[in-house]
Amino acid sequence: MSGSCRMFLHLHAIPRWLTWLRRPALEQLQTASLGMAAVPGMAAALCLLLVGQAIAQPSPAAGLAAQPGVIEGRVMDADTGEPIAEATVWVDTAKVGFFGGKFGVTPGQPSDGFAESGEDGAFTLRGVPPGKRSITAMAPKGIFNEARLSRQVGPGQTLGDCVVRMRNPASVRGRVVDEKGEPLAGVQIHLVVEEYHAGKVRQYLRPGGMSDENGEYQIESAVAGRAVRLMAERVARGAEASADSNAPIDPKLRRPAFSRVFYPDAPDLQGATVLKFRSGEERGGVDFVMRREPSRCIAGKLLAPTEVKGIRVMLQHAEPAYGSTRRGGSFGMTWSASLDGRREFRICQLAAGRYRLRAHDTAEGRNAAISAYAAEWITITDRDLSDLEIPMVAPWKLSTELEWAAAAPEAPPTQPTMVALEPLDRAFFMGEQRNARIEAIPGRGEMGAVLVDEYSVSVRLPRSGPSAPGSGAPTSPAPGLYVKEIRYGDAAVLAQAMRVGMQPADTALKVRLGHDAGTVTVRVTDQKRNPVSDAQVFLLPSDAADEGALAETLLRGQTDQYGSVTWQREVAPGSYRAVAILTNFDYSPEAVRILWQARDRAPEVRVAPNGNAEVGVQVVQQ
Amino acid sequence: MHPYGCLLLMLALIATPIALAVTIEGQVLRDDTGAALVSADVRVARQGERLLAAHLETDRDGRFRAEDLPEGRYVLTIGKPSFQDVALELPVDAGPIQVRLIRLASISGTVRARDGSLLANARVYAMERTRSGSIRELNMAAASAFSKADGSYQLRGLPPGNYVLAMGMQGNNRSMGAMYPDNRSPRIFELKGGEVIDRCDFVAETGEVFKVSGKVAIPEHLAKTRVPSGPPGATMDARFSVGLAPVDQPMLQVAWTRTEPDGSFEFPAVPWGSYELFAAGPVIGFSFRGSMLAGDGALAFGRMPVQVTADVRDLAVQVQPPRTVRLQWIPGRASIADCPKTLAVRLTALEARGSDLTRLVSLPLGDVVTVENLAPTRYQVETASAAAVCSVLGAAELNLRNGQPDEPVTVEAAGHGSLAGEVLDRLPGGIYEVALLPLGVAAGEAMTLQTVDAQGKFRFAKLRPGRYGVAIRLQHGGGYSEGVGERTAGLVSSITEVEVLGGNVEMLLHAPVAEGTANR
Repeated sequence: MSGSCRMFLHLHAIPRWLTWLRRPALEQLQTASLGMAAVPGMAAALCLLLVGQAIAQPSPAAGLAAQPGVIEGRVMDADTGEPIAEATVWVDTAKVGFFGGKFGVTPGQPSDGFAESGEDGAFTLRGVPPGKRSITAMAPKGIFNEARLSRQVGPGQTLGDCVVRMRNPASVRGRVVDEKGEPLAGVQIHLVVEEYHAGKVRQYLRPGGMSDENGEYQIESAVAGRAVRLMAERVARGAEASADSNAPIDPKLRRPAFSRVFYPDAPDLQGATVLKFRSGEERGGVDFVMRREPSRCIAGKLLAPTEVKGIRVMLQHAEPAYGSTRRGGSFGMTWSASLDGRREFRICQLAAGRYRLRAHDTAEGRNAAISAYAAEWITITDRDLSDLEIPMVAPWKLSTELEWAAAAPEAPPTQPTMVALEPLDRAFFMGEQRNARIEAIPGRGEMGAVLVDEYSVSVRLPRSGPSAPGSGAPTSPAPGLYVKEIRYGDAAVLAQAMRVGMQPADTALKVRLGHDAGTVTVRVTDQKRNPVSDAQVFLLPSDAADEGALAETLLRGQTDQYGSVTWQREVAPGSYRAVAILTNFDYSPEAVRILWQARDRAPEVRVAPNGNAEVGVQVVQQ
Repeated sequence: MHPYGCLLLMLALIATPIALAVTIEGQVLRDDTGAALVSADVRVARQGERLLAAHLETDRDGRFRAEDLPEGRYVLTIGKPSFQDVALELPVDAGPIQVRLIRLASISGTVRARDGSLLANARVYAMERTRSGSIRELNMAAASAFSKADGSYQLRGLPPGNYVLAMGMQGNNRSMGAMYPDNRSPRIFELKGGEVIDRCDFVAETGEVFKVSGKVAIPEHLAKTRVPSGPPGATMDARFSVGLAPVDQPMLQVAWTRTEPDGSFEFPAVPWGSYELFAAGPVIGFSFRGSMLAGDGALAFGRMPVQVTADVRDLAVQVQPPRTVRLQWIPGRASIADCPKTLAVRLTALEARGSDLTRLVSLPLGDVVTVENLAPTRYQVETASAAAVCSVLGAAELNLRNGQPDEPVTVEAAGHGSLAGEVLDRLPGGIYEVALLPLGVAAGEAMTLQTVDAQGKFRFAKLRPGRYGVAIRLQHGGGYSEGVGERTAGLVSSITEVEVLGGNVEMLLHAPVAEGTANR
């Protein structure tokens, strides 16, 4: 088989019903989709993840408070003020999931805390357990198109006027032609977004569309309300997608390649026009002209240990690329192909540019670990690259140590801590082992097969609870816990990318936890001292060195109907600035810059160990 | 230079064969209109060599040209999105050639509710109608599309074959499934190439819907199942898949869901009608064919009729053990010389069940192989892969709805075959070209062209078992199709269907009677 691109599940091609998955499930789906790029026949694994998500929904809300409340409200378009019908709305205690082809209430279970908005956007959530409740609305259009509210619900209370404002995705149409004006089919149109992740601004691709035989494309779910750029890229097909290309030796006898084009006509992101779509906007005439250029080949050999049998090789452009982020990156079709037992590769139909070539052995057996891996930058200029020799190295065993930053608490957590590495510009591969489960603190775990690559570190603190009424499993971190420091050798990687391979092989990943987090309440008012509900509130560490560090370390919340938000024993001791804004926050450079600039004028909050602090702020006028 | 040096050099030059440069050139046209096809992909390969000699694209006039190629026999593969690929072997000394590409078919229309409102996000899909009359889902991107906001849909790039069209929608407010134009007598689309069929409009039943709920009696020994991809020995609560299909069209999936661990389930919005409910489990995930069953463990299946005229509650679904069938591959009349020692067959369920019931089985020649864990449904026994050199003969169907056969079910297969023919009524001096299109399971693979020899003979060798369409045209004369306009363009009246199942098939073709018109 030549490359296996056609079997990959691309987000653009995901049927609409998959958009009904809850975010965590779809994030796993995204990951799994590129996992399929890495390993043929991975569809099953993807599906297993999905059913795992559905099965993992909280158990019935048994034992809810005797006097549940009611939440009434409407789902409205943030730009037009029009009602949004058929939005799915639920509270955090509702038992929901992906069932029978659609996101909804678990069959056979009560529909407490779940509703769909009517033609006028109105919804009524009944049977809502009293307490601090999170309300999520998901629009019928778009992927991940959710908005949330926070509300305090008293026993038997009926809350009215809960207005969820959200945007419908925009529709973008255009045409792709070559330099002669002829339509080009099979050109992938991507949305490119920028956001802070692991300490710096990174570019990620989001779902787009594909040109048809008339060169026409349409993107049905272009994200509205944030800065995006558009990029056109021709997708390799058939034999072009082989890692053993049969392209002619003579470059003059090869079919030309097409280089990436950024809208309207730029070779790189810097020259691209920034677009911002309104909710539900139908934007036409977003046309591209793609130009032919000589097709280049790269050829070489992967230097793999003799015991390695199968190898899968992947090639993708340097940024913008598919990649993982907790806040909007996505995975899609990445070129990949099997070497069918060979070590040699020849990949053609490449335009000049910078690429990332990766390869790993295809481990046998469902739970077998990857035993050899390579990741190399390849820069193609005006000629073929041949005789490349790319060493494959064994994954690292990464010792992961967990300890208290100070003396241990009197009642240490009983649940385990999970430490995971999230690859920054690729999806996970089957056979990676980059998670460590550490049962006690202090304690040690091991990540069994970490590929030499770039990651962000995520820590899932020990749970305690149950925190949500009726839920069977603890879902919130134990009170007072926070991650104080993560070090990998001499590198601090709490808010920075971690490069495995840049430290000696026996270097441990050290995570230090604090248990003296304090409580902070922020009350938000307008200029007339009236409480402001639904404001986005941030606690910004005063010592954040730059915008990248700020984006990684900020704490984020949303005010309830009383204009108040509380972080209950979640805030590490230290100095913070409290900022409130009324616009959506998406970790884009523009959004982070607003916070960065606002912090000088923002009131300081000092949080003592195990302390309580309260501060009043006014919303920042943008 | 040595006095004899020059002479030696001359002798050496004389003794060395001079490699002649070859030029390959031609033009690619659209078959139904004769228009030039721009940016078609032309791959030129010298016979026996893996690397292409040239990889070209056609210009604005549909022309391509590769010069200074080494002498030899060449094979061309020509393609363009939405057109059937063509493969042809170039005769030595071939001059400029003309290749006509047949457009793949498209079907379009709208999905509306009874009140005339347009319905978005309905899945419209083509299913294959096999020669035996069965209907089966296709694993093909072109075979499925979702209706847009204006209710319109379009299936593009359908290769030749026989299809029926279906529409489905599932959600909290409504679940539905319907054939076009209706379930009792679905229209059969006999696509031969290039048809542009529009106005296939679905009218969705949007009347009252009802809740259907009940409980599957999950046997105690199946209450736990393994955790997919989990550590050895890890188990989780078992759930069953439950599907609803109309009695009059069992391949339509109207609704499906999974039970809770206690077996309870609910379909929130089922239209009025007669259905068969099917339960299967335990499930460990789902694929695009439905829920995936724990294939390496014990299974159970349940089936019952459900009449929906109001809310249906408290359905008690009993389950039964799976069926077991013994299969045996036996030598038959057809040659199996090309076949491997083990035949790979696939058992494909012919009724939509909400579960992926497909099974792959390896049959060593002569051995009786026991296949367990089969559902009480109808299966088609077929070749596992369209690319297989050895194919299951006939349309073997297993009906396990009411029991299982006591005796082994025999399967026959065939290896490569050939197709030879003669063209009658040729025009003096006329050069004819015969096209061979794969149909059925292999539809979409490249069409093969061959020039008829001076005696009017042609022969296609090493053909994988299967159905083919044969068409003929006068070179430089016209297309395969009748060319009477977009809507009916294609090979509708000029194709001859043959089946090659090992051995040689012989046929007679009549030459086209006039330019641009193929014989009937």
